[in-house]
Amino acid sequence: MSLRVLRGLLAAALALSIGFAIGHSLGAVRTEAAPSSCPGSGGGPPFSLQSVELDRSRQTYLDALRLAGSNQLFPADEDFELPPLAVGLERTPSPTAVIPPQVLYAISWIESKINQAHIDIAYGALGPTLISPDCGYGIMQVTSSIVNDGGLPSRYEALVGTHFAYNIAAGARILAEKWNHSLFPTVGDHDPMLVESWYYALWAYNGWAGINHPAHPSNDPFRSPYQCGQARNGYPYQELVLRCIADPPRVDGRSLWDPLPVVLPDWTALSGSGQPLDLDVFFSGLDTFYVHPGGYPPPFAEMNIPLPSGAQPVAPVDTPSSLRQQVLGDPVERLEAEGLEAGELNLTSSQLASGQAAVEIHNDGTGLLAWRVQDAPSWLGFDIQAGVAVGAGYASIDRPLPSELRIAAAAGGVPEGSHRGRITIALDWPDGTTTTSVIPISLDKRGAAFYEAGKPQS
Amino acid sequence: MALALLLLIGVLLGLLTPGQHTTIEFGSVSFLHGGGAPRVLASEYHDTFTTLWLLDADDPQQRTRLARLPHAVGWDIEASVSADQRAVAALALSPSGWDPDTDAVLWRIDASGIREVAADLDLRGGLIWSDDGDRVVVRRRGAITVLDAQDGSPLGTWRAAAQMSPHTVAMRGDTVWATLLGANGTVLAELQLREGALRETRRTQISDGWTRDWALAPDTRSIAWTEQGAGSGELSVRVAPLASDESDWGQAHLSANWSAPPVERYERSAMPIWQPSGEWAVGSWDRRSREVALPLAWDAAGRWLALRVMIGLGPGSIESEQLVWRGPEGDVISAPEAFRFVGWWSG
Repeated sequence: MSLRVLRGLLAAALALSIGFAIGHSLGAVRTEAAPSSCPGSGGGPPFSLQSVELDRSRQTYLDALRLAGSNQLFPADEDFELPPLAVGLERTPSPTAVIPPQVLYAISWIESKINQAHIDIAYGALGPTLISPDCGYGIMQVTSSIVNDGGLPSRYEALVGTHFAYNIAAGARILAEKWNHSLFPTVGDHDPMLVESWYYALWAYNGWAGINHPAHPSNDPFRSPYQCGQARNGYPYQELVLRCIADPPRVDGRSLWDPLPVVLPDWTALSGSGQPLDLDVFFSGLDTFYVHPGGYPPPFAEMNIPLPSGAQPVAPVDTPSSLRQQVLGDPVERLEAEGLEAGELNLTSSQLASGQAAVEIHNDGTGLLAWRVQDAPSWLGFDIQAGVAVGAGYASIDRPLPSELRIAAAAGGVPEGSHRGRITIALDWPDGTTTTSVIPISLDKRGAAFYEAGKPQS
Repeated sequence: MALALLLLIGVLLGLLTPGQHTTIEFGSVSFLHGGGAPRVLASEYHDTFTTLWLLDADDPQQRTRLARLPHAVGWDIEASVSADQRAVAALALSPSGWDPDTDAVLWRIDASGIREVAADLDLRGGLIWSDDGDRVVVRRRGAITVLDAQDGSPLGTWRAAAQMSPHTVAMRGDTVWATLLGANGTVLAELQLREGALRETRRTQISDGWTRDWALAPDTRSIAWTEQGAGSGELSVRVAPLASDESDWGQAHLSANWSAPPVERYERSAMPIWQPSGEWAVGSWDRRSREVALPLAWDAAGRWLALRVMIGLGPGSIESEQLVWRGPEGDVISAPEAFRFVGWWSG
């Protein structure tokens, strides 16, 4: 057997073992519920993301939801700031208007039971992000602006999928966009401080579809008021949310929030012929919209309804100035890996080949440190593409939880020779800035593939 | 409580309006005697599973667990009993599923046990049996699909035009009927299963509004439904023959068979119910009342009537509901709390 053939066989064997190692070691962290592809958003597989599940009481999440509704989470972040809410029938942008926190509380419960990580992940632990089969991510089940194209996640995609606060901010922003959009009809004077006013925005958050019409034949015409925990069959989405505001879910015998009286529109009275909630009015609007998208007048203007009698505005909520700091913390970066010295990662070939090479991302500060792989050579693979490292400061977590990025070589398609690359890890900070850490790494594929980081072979 | 229910049901049964060719007066209907009590198939929802129970109609404390079906948190099953009342099909959102429009699985439960027969189905698209019990019709990712009721293999699929929401309503022989709800109201489509394909053979516009409560006659030759007309706003219950040999299928038979007074069109509601004898009637009620009783289904002998009784605080404010059935002696029997009627059972 010639040396060339031997080299080829060894290379093939190594590639096979590496492929197995990647498939085995990386596949192990995927959850059964994660879909294999996202045909509705990019066509590729969902991103492999890591989140932490904080505590069963959801208190930190509830705090974040409260902050998000008043644009106090990421007010200077163009990807995650809450747009000014349009107030009144003229939809005048108001910099002071807020989403009542109860609205966001209830959405998050309906969407995910207020869970950011997969249901199998214990409270106080890191694990795969909750990803629905239709590729909705995290607490707010965000799908908008996430393109699962098989590549690395963008800043927006990574933060939505890994960090609960960004996920919540994204959900609040999507809801605000529905509220502001002139396409959707209004309730009363379109006053955001009346939760009843959010009826149509909630409908649109879930999907401006007939199935959410209260008079749609799929919905039970004799449904009793929805109770959180009851089966959802036969209820339009907005009724689920509004009723959960009035009848909050209980965890360990305690309501997650204080009940707030909510008056649902009397849809039976409003669904008569030509009335705003006549199903035909909705379908006619859809028909107009498809023919003249963006046309004038708004296709659903006939669906505007009066404020239900008895609706009361929500009392403003005082948010302590320190709450944002409590929720987001002040993370401090520290990267660790065996052989990582002077900024270079010295890894053995066997580590890389077996997928056991890893970089640990520590948070020596507080809150969550969000990281993502921003750039990497095509011949490297990762178990997760983005995650969070947990620092101190959360009552439910008694010690910091470093995040581990496992690295494997996917050398099968790489021609023989020396290849050098860099792993760029982006760190996204709560103040909106991004810094990067670069880890040089090299591959020398000379028959029996050999890896040595930081020392290019020639 | 039982007395109150009895009184309520007696009053509400009096509101059942006989159909055009019906001679039965529901308020004073006399029941045949003899034979044992039938069994009620009812479901009990839990967060992550639903239990199917068989209850003795004359003593619901005597009950047997038929199946326990796992499902995603928050979504109850949709179940349907075969015409011979010996098998039940149930759609359940897969425990790992999320989207009720794509992630449902189909279970079959009969004397041989329980098994999953199909997946990737729509939870809210309808679930009906063929009259011979050999097939079920479901919706799969928006397309009407006929499945083998034993093994779930697809026998034919038909997809409606975009923007039309299809819903299965009946199957007799190789003919399927489905409604299509769209911008111009409701269309009834007739589909034929031939040579491994499901093809539309004709359709008719049956309403410029929406329809619901589709009920196939016991002989499967007629179908009834509730309609809220868009133009007039009239609330109607209509009955149409499903005979396929009529050239003017649909239209000639779609005159309203029962209508609510227009002035009360949205303050009343109604639904058709068939007697085993083939006679139909209308259960109508006034939404302004505190109590509502919906007739659900007669047992095969026409002796027992299941009802959904709702007690509320006023218009649009139903507070609680209860599954009950009225027996041949006029006695009213309540199911355990939170049980939902699936069907009468002979299996």
